[in-house]
Amino acid sequence: MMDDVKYTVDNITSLTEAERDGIYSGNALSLFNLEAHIGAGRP
Amino acid sequence: MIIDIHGHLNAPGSLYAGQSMMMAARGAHGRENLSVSEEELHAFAERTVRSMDEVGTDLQIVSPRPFALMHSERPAKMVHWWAEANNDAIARQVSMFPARLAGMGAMPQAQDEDPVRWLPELERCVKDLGFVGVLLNPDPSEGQNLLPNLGDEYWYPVYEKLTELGIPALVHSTACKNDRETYSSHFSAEETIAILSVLNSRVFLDFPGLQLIISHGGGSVPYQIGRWRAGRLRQRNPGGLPDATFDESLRRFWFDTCLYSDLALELLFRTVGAGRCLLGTERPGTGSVLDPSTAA
Repeated sequence: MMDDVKYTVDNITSLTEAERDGIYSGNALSLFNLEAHIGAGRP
Repeated sequence: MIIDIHGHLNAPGSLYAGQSMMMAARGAHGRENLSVSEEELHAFAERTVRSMDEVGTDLQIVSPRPFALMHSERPAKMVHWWAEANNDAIARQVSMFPARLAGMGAMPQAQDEDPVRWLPELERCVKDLGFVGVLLNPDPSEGQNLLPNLGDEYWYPVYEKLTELGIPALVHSTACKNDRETYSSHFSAEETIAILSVLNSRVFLDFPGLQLIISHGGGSVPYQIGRWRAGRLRQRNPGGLPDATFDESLRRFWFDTCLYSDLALELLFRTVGAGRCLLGTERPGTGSVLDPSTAA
């Protein structure tokens, strides 16, 4: 559905779990330096 | 962990009222109207976080609202002031929710200026504000066809600085003054032009460390890939371009998932590979419009 991209990606059956994990965070973590934010800890 | 790399500044109307007053005076009254209170900014940052919680997003990379960046307006000082005001607002919201929001800046890409004039703000975004990326508008003349495409050496000072700072750029156009397009259809057109112009140039050869993310799933390129594969095969004299197929070259870019359709997303993943794709929602915004076929 258009209001939940992740839900739509969750339901694309041709993706492997590793590919899905990459789309959701792994690829971003390899591209951006997000240390300051990941290290900030989620309340 | 869920990271959304495509979100835009959620700011109170007072910021945009200030922009309107600045434009009405063409900058003659300075930039004082562009201030926003801490309370208002916090309330709107909370709305963004609530919107993220609705869909399970842990961290969102927030950039200014592209269509409002007014790169083609004059005088250029207004473009600078407005980019700085947006970047400052994002930095303040990130400081309020550092575990949930990260900053992506905007350069003051005034159409009349040499791109080197945009770079001090880019440096400030990274070195002073701690931003992790920047928007790159491939068309600062906003639909007026006045500036060269991203394959031209006009852009090389920007590519040099991005490479030096080690940050990626999200290719995303802004407004559109061409009456034949809306700003939104111009996004798609400019994303297509960006990919094709860079792949028909020496940009990735001259800047091997340059990282470009194409917004909205890469414009029309994944859908039209047959045309571009054929085009690459017809090039008898590539003139210093990489000896690669179109598909191989295309995978030099990154792509976000702001497509809102399962068929389009599947086509993107199959065409460029899931390993080059990053979750993007544009939420709140286009990505929070309720789908009437699934809304309760």
